[in-house]
Amino acid sequence: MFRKQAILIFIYALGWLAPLPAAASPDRHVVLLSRKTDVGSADSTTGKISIELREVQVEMTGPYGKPRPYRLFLIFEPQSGAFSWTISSKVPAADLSELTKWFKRDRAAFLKDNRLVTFTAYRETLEIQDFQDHASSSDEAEQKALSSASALNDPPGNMEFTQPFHKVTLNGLSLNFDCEPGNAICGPSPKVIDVQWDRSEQHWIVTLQARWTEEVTLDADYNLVSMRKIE
Amino acid sequence: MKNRDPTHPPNVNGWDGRPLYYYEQGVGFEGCAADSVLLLTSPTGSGQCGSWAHLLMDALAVNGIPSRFVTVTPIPGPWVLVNNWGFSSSPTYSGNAPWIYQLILGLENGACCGMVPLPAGSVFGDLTSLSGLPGQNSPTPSEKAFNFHFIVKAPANLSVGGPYFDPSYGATYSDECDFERQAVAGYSEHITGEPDNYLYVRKPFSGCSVTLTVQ
Repeated sequence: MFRKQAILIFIYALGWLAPLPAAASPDRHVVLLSRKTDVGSADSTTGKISIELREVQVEMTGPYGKPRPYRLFLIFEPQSGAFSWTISSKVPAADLSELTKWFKRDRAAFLKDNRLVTFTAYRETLEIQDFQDHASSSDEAEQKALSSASALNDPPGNMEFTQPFHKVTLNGLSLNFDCEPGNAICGPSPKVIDVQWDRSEQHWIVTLQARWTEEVTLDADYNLVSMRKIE
Repeated sequence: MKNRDPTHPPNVNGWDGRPLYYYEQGVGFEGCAADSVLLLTSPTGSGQCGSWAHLLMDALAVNGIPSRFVTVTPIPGPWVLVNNWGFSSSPTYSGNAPWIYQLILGLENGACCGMVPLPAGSVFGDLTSLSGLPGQNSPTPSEKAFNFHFIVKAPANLSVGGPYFDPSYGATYSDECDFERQAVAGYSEHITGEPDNYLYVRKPFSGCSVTLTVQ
């Protein structure tokens, strides 16, 4: 108890978690538990760029009004100030860099028109987040993300289901793309290995790797245009 | 099969008395054979449902009886949880009915997803793996969460019940609803924005949430 209060006082003393705007934060109980920062890369219309990856463990109000650990994953692009985030219920024993490793292994981000767009594949679905928010630093981005998460946490405990995602069902893609026939479970979900923006056609070209490589073309609003097996 | 104890599978052995297992405890997906030849020849003697379905089809074929391979698929998917599981009385996603429980499966050799090694207390988020449902020589199979299950359909003129035979659990089913009634503890979906092994779960409710595809 004393330790938790001491941590909270320490956090606020450092200004890491300034009081969140009341209008955007019905849940004001936010306690920082840990923070890990790393660097990664994203694509952009001008080539590869460097991004900051941050995984933050916090305690917020969960179901039944009880404090619960959550983890915020933040991607920040320092040149434009664009950022993207997700927040989810955390398992106490989970690896503190699990989401960072997952991003580097399986996901992709693309900076377009000063907006950070992330692409994740799960089975035969493409999950896309397109954030328009900006910050002057990753610390400010973290604060904004926690404030937004806090606003989503009303009633507490279901933030996972209220975050905005575009979900694209890859109709026509065989289950065999990531499921070996005869096995009771499918293989790992496809990796997003490349994302490009085709300026002339105004199309996204997303390359997925599972048991083979598939190129998916989306329009500017993330509607599926076409797919083709490329190897 | 008609006269055996219906609560347990017959516990099949090889000709040399060597037990053959349906997901022996401690053996994960990668260590379990996916076809009958591998089931009979692998050092672990442990097999997935597909290997047991093929073994039954082979045994029927030796006796001149044709049969069909059947894929059980959860809809809309992608996970089906086979009995028995305990559910938390204070689920993580209480406001997201009916998908109120959090399930966190493990990674096996770094790949999603499985239950080996078994975590402390057999706890997987809001769910706890309980003993059963018994499989071949395996009172509590090591894996109980699947994307697919494989069983066998016997020909209608065989008059042995079923018509769906599940050699993994030594059970018979009349249809997909009967499979759900006898075997299913819940269904699971992926949580958007989370790694593959983070899932939410609902219990079965009226209407069957599996399809049987006969090949």
